[in-house]
This record gives sequence, C-alpha cells and structure tokens, in this order.
Amino acid sequence: MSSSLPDIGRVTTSQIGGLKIRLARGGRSDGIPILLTSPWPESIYAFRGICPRSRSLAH
Amino acid sequence: MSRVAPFIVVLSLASGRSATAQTAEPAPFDPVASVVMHPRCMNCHQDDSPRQTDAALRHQPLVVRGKNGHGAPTLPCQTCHQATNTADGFVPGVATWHLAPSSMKWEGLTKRQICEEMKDPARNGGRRTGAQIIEHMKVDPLVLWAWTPGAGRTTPPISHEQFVKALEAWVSAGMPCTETTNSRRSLQ
Repeated sequence: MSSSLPDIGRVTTSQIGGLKIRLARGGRSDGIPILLTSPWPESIYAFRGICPRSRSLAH
Repeated sequence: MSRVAPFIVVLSLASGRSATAQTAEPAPFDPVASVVMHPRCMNCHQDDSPRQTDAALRHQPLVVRGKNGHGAPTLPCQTCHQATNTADGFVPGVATWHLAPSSMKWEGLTKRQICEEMKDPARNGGRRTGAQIIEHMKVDPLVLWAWTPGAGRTTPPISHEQFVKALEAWVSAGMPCTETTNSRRSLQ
C-alpha cells in the first residue's frame, strides 16, 4: 500500500458553527463552485476519484 | 418481650462475627480495576481499533489506530471527535481524542495483568513513579472524560475523587497486584 495520499486538493480544517470541520479545497478560485458534502462514514479521500475530474469543470 | 431481647442480642453478635470472618477484603487494586476495566476506559485501550458501547462493539465507522494512535491519515480521530462532546453527546470528544498507545493495551488482559502493566514504565506511558500515575489519572482530559461521557453512556462505578483516593491507597500500599485477600487472619 502506498504511504502517499491521493491528491484531493489542500486538506485543512476550518472552524464552522463551533465545530472544527476537516475539508479539502482545490481547483481554480474563479471556477464553478462545486461542494461535495461529507461522505460519512468514510474519509474525504473517498472523493479521490472525483476531485481531479471536478477540477476540469472549473474553467 | 423482655425475655426474648437478650437472646436476640446474642444471636446478632454471633452472626455478626460469622459474617466478618467470611468477608473478603478487597485488594488495593480492586477499586482501581473497577474503573480501568470499565468500558469507558477499555474501549480505547485496544489494539488496532477502538470499541463502542458497553458491549465493546467495533467502532463504526471502521477506524484504525494509524501510526500514532490518532487514526489513519485519511480519517484521523479529530475528523469527527471535537474538543468536547458534540451532537448531543453522541459524538464524544476531548481535544486530544485518540487511542491509548499500543504498549498500553488492556483488552484481553486480566485484572492482575493490567495492574502489572500500570506499574511498568515501558507499558504505562513512561511513568516511573506512583505519583506520576496518580497525576495522569487526576488531570488527563481523556481520563476525566470517562465521568462525563454524554449521551447516557455509563460511567465507572466510583467517582473520580474516589478513584484518585483508591489510586493513592494502592500506591501507598506499594502498588500490589495480589488478588482479593481474606480478612480471617485479622480475627485470629
């Protein structure tokens, strides 16, 4: 198993509504906003196949 | 009625002495064990994956220890576990939520084995003295969480204050790991 993680964008946390929310941001800032909500009970890395494709829409 | 009373007193004394003779004194570690073997503690002193509920069910969603006990890089504990209990307590939390180190695994051990482990710096987080063990149990937020677990979860059978006193008594006694003792000798 590879020790490197797939590229899903910049993974960070943000304080939202009193909760520390883990999220990933990627793509162009002037592109079409696409929001992928929590894949609970999975990791946000469950979107690893979608994130690169969604970047291509962001132009 | 007055003729009966002395007879009753004699019987009471006799039965009292008999009960004392058969009563086993708890070993110093027993009250400590009643806490550390409680699900609120045991569920995170595990091998690869934490447990949930008093039935020690495997954590849902499935999570794993990871390199440092804070979960896999793809799903660290803090993804869901916040600095406090959230979602009306259903998602428990303290700021440092994580599994106990592998060296401090208690699952599958007997009371005596856990006692021995708690005394061993190689398996108790490097605590070399009884005072250090007590301090950990006094202030560690994860330990304290066991008494404020939220969402109707059960708590250890004695209070945190009683737990600390039990630890102090155990340490004062030399941290013995002997099983329950019997008080008959005290009557001889």
